[in-house]
Amino acid sequence: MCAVIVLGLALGFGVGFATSVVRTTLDLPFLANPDSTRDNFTSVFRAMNRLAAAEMTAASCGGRRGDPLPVEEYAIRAIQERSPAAGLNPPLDVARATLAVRRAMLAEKNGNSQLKTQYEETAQQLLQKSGWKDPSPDHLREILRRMDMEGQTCSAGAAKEGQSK
Amino acid sequence: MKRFAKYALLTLAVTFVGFSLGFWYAQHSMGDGAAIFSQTLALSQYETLADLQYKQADTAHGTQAQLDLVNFMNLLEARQKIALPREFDYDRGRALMRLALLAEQAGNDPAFQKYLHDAQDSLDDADKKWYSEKAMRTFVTVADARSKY
Repeated sequence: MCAVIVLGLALGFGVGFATSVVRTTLDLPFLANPDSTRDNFTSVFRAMNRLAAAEMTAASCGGRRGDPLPVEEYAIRAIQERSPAAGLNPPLDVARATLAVRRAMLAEKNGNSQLKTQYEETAQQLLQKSGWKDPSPDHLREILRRMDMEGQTCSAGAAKEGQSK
Repeated sequence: MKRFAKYALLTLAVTFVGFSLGFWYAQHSMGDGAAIFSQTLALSQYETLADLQYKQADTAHGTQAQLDLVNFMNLLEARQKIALPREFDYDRGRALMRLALLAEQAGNDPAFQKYLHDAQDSLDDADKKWYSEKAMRTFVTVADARSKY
């Protein structure tokens, strides 16, 4: 009798725990699809999580663990679509300019100077529109360099790998 | 047969109790961690964009960005249980004090007084202490000096 109770409790506890863990993981805002909710604020909140996670990956590992830039682009678009209905107006042009500068850095690394110039021009236009006192892409690049250094969360191995590339 | 049915029923009942306990326990341990993680992630990204505008853009764009940040924080507070309330109130207090300083720069004294009071209110929620105007100015100056942008 006692064995049945203990076994049943243990089995139930294990299954219940695992179910909750899977549910919580799937509900993590940066994994959940921003478009899968009708609530505009929740959608913006999820997309902001995705943007943050992608920015962290781009900043700390330089995108070597998968390409986070398309994720950033998707998140920015999702925020743009739902933020007016949520009563929000985040400075998305700054996020777009950041994305453009990161793409310019990637193009430079790949030796594609034409594409680099194109992205830098886009960044400059976006920063001008955002009222920046110094809208040059070099200025944003320097800010990104300082921010990336501060938020360095990549493993030492990956960081070294990035420096050697 | 009766004995078997009794045991089967008992197993089912205790498994259900175990399931509920396991689910509740994971929800309270992992669920809270997930809430802290997701709120921190979303807020830090929103703050980065708004603070970049505050530091780099003209007064109008800087004010707009900080106002929107405060709006986002108010909506978040209305919809979700804030996982780290003290840090949240600090962040909101800083954004409001920045708005106060921007209003002061623009020569808008009523707006300056309103935002200053709101910022003091937010820090009062965090620390249960009313900070002077001078202390509020220092609070933002120190935060701005630490900022990487």
